[in-house]
Amino acid sequence: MAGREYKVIITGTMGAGKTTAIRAISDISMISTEAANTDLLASAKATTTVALDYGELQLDGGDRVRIYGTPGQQRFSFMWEILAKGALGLVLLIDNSSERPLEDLGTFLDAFSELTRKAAAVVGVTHCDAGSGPTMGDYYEVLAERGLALPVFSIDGREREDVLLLLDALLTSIEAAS
Amino acid sequence: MTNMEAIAQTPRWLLSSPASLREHPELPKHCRSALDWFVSQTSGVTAALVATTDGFEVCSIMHRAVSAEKISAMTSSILALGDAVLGEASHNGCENVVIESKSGLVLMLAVRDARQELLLSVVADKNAMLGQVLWAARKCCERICTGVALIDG
Amino acid sequence: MPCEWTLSVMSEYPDEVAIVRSMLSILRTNLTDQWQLVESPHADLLVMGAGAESALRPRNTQVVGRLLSPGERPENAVLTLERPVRAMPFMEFLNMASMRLKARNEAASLSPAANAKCSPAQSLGQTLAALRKSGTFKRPMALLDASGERLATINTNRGEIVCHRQDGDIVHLLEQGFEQAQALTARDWEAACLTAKPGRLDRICWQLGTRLAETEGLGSWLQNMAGFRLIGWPDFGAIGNDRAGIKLSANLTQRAHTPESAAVATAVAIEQVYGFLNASSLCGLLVESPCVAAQQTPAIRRPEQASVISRLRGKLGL
Repeated sequence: MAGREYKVIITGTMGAGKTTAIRAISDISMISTEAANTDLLASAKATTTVALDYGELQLDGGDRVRIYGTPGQQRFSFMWEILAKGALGLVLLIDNSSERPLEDLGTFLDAFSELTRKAAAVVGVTHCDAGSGPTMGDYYEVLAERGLALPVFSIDGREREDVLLLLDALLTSIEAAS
Repeated sequence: MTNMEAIAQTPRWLLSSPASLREHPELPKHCRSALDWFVSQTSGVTAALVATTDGFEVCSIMHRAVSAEKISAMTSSILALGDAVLGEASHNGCENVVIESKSGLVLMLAVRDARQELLLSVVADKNAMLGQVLWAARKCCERICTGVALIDG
Repeated sequence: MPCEWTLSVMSEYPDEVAIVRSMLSILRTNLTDQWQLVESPHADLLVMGAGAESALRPRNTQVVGRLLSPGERPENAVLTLERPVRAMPFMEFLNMASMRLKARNEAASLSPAANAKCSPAQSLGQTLAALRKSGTFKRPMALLDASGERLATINTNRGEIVCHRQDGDIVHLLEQGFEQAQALTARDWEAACLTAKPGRLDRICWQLGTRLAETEGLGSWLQNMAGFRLIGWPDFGAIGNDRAGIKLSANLTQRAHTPESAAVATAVAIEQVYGFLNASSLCGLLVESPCVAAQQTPAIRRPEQASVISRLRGKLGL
């Protein structure tokens, strides 16, 4: 009998570390859909995700958690909607050193409002030690404006421990809401 | 000094092509002429566009109200997914994806330009014949490649 | 308990105000809070059409909503309502505005009441609370030790602290007691940052708060409160992973608790709950909030979801 399937989405700004985060926890080798990045104003990265990243966590009993990483740019927002359908929870990564992290946070919170309103979302802020950039207080404000009190953690997206911290907070939030 | 001599003496780095095709001002012109040819050749085409592999529109011909911006991004997603699926099946390089419905079809192709940076997307109605559209689209890609070669020098 | 808010509609169409008025009375029972339509533009919620936008300058304390005519696209407006105004969308619009007004009005953290005999941790909490509440909270402040030497410089706006003493653990030093100095300038802060790298203020607050629980239990400024709620999560990425803290945060952000009910709900020892409450209060994240006395109808249990979550935890070693 085929097992049951659940879905966790990882989204956020370009360069925040979504792909790395999935790689850090996936059981299978990650499937990615990258293309050459022509938008060098947005990021110096050589490539960018244009459809999705896909990883899996296999649970006992044949059940599975599918992990989807979305593209970060607004022009792929149709993918956000498709991927978020029926998701258990959302991990939102924001690159603190990017141009407009707070605006981007607002954009994603609004785009995924169904999940954020159910407190089934966490925010991870990467590249915090780059010097300048908004403070954690600024991030709280963006959430408070929307009546949200989601976890916001400053993390290193390359560290598996930090990705697990985000997932722990996410799962605990979902449990507390039910 | 005549023009020819001037070019001969200009250092190579000044003549070299931009980091990405998208930045080159002549690109839309070349693509446009290829698209014009394609649309004139093929019956039933309601929209045709050229996009970058990361989903930006380069140029488009729209006979119907279709969002070129959105289709460009979607084409990039679909062809990238095509690559991923083929990779799982141990094949390489997605050439095209055909999306058919009862009222028409969308055909998306990788242009296979020298830099592998361009995609072609075609929207056609019931009057179109897939075989003909595919043939003409491939020829259109060849024309785009020729244009790109001219730019790249 | 429902709140009462005022609402003002600045529209280029006089009829629209009448429509809003009649809709308010129809929707009365469906709204989270109570709304009163007023004429003054200084209402809690200011709803404007495009024409009014240039004429009015809303205050920081107001929530602003934009009325969109057909075909008009919202630009940078977060709270919008399409014309013509219809009951269901208007109801959702007002309930969203309620949420924003509540978030905006959220009392600053529970401030340790001014008390001659308060502990240094409490004293720091008072200082931080006062700084956060005041208009000058963006200014840095120096903390001096008993001999008048600078122990640390704090900047609540940036959430950072610079420690000026190399000879001891700053938390320990602060626990010995300190005097506050006057507010400093931005330049003083920059100078302080040159002497030592700024660290996260919440880390220090966290340690002070949890250590206080070991000696005194629940901070005296938190006793006699009807219940608590968190307005934000502590940053466990900076403070350090804390399983109990995560459980408490998840519960306390979603509903109000007393220390005892929080301990029961999360299966965390009461001493740890005290430490958590002290620490989050010092970080400015805790507010007083009465608990709902009667148990509300429990949310529909989803055993399937609970199961996958616990198995996922097991899988990830969480």
